[in-house]
Amino acid sequence: MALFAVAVFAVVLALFALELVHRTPAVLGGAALLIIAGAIAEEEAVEAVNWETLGLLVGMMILVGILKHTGLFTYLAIRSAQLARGSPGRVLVYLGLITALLSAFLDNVTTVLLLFPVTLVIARILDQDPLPFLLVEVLCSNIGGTATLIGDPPNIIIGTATGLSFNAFIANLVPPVAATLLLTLAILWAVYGRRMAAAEEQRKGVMAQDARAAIRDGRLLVRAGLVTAATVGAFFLQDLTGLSPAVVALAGAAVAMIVCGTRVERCLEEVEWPTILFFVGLFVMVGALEATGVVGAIADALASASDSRAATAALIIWGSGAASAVIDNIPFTATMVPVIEELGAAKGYSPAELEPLWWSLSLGACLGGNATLIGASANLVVAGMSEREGIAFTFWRFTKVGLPLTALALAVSTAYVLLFQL
Amino acid sequence: MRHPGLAATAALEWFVQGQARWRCRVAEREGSGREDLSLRDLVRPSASVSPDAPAREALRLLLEHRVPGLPVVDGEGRPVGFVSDGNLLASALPRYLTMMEDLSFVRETGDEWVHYLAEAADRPVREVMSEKVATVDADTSELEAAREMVVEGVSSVVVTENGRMIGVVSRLDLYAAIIGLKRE
Repeated sequence: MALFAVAVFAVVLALFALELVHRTPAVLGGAALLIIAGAIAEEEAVEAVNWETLGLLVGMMILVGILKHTGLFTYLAIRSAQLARGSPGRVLVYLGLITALLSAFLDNVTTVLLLFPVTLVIARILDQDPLPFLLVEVLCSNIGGTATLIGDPPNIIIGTATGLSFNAFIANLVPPVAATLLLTLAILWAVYGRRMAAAEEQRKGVMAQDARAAIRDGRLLVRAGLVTAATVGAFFLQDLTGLSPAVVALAGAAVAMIVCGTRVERCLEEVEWPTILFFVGLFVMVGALEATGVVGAIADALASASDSRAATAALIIWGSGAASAVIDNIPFTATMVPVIEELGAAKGYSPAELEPLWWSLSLGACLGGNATLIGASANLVVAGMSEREGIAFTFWRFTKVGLPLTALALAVSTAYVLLFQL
Repeated sequence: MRHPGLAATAALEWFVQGQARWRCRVAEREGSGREDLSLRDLVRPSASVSPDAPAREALRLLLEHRVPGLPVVDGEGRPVGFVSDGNLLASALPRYLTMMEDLSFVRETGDEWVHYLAEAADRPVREVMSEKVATVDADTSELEAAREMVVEGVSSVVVTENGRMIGVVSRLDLYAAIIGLKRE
């Protein structure tokens, strides 16, 4: 039965990785199959679904769905370019920074999707090849998303499973993420930005853009902005209020839907229901892996492969990074969470002792997404859109930049965990 | 019968409503359109453009014949697509510009993009046309033709006989003819 569960899991993963089947019906089918075959009981399957994760995702999707129609993202991109005085190398760096910042609080894919067209507009005005700008944005979105509990799905999964607070994520992950971001931007500037030059007229073109005009609905922006800011503020107060992020997010979404005046049907259309159902199916499949003992076996293997927490942490960082580079980091993280839990139980670690391993998983799974084009959804989405515009955002062009930068990021993370966490 | 009054009221109501319905039907028939039309009466010969011609040529023909769209036919007179002013403009504009909800922030540099439209005029019609062309056989009813145009959102249907285009029927011509309006 354990083998059967692993086989189903592997086949499902392969099916949607090769794009033969959409991921949602693939995992739902896999989950149904596992329940029918008895790998996991129905009640256990329902228990396995982490509603916290779903609640947080839905809440944030609703908020972002409202915000994105305000023109805020376009405004921020233009202002960043103008702050850079239209100098292309600096624009490159500033766009990277704003992408990282936005991705820390909002979903990575949505962030790069919304910045995509305005980035092309800016690149056009500066008469530059748009590719480096898009590359920087994608890389920075994955890095920035690592910094907070809500920034990237692996963190959401870890946070809602372990109960680690929003502030805990910030306190423990911002240092390595900030260091990685700065190093990455410095290198990207040296490789691409330094050689970029734009004529006076083109720089003036950027400065002449009317960023304020990009805000299509000022009132909506104020309302949606305030509600989102309040929601994020409430995340920060998690230690005080004891409210889980899912509750906060859903409350924020509810207030936004009432206050913002956008039609509720429209707000709910913005929620990526295929992704939500994907998580449901995934949780059940991972639950089956747990129920059949596969997770325990992996945990044992991990435990025996490393005899100290330091070794385990390093193994997790690099192993997660490598896995995340080729397979979707969401199923990977969802599987690793019970693995690390069982490892901790087996070795008798206290929650405090186990923490560094959670940060290791987070850093490895999130940063690993930058290694190859297929490592993260944001990469693939931008690649797809670029292709349609005739921009060659190819596997090789991405990977030859992403792979070394990711190795560097993982090295920084390892140093950080070994020096500051253990 | 326990309540003869109720029964009588019900019967009276039924009679009155029946009368009203009958009167409506009569009224409809009196204001009704021409029922004796067939598609063959409405077909008009149409210019067409080859799939290999440049978009510029299609634009010229649309302008010359003052129509919003033209059928694209191959060497044997078979419709392979439809090209409208909508298709032409949409294919000329870089896609990412249409991804944005608003372009009002662009100032002074709008001309940057004009050359895209100029260059797009040299592309062959096959690259800009819509491959979905509403085609009906000459013996199809006008009702089906009307439905096609509404559902596909096109301004005219291409009428074929034995697979070859014999002309088009436009929305305007169809509806106007049915209600008896004549083209000046």
